[in-house]
Amino acid sequence: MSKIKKILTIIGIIILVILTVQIINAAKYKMVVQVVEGENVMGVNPLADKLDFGDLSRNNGMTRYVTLKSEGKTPTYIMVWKFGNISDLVKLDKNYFTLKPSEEVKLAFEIHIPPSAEIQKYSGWVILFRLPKIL
Amino acid sequence: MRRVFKDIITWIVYIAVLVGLIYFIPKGLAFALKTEYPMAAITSGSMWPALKKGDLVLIKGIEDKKEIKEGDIVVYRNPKGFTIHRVIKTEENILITKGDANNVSDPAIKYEEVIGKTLCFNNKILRIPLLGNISIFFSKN
Repeated sequence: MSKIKKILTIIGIIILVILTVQIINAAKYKMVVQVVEGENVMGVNPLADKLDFGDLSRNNGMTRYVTLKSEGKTPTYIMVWKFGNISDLVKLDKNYFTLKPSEEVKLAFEIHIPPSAEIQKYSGWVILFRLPKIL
Repeated sequence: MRRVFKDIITWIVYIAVLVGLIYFIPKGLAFALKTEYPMAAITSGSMWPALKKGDLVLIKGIEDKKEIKEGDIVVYRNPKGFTIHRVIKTEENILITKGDANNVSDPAIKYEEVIGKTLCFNNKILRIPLLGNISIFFSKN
């Protein structure tokens, strides 16, 4: 193996380790909504461990919040990724931003059920990465 | 020295092939699909779940208004750019469209304003998820 290949392999392994650690340490929340028949139907599940939007009929919406606080002395870069069939329905008020030390931010997850939604359960995951901003 | 020269030539060939593909794929599609705009990126969720934001769809040109049927997804020009919505009603000179995820239909349009309709295979829209984000990124920047 040439010297360049060795260096690239080591860099690749370091990047892979950093990514794996970040994914493991990231906050993960399950998101779920049950689309139901009718008009202006709204059933709330007051659970704190997941982003449960409860039962919602078409043309209805709801917002749930996640509070973020930067505990350390360095700024933290926040990055939020959504997965699953619910992800197209959920909008975030902000993403890819920097949290200053001791700063607290309420992140709003707003769901809107369009008229084309099926009567079914939509679910997915939100992964919230907190990366120390060194540079 | 000879190896470095060989590497440079290989890179030049790779880049030439890549540039050729980027340039000729749209040209080839435009010719095959008979339209100036053979590809479109989905920039909103108005057609969810049939089309999702960031999808890239292929557009087939329309030669005769008889080719447009209710239920087809068509692309047409509007003062702000282009719209990709479903045909909900066809009349002699006009047609009415609506986004699947919208509550109201769009203002009626003339057949001449229609650029084309989405290309389907086995009654399924041919769409490439996420690829449209590249076009969205460059148009925003």
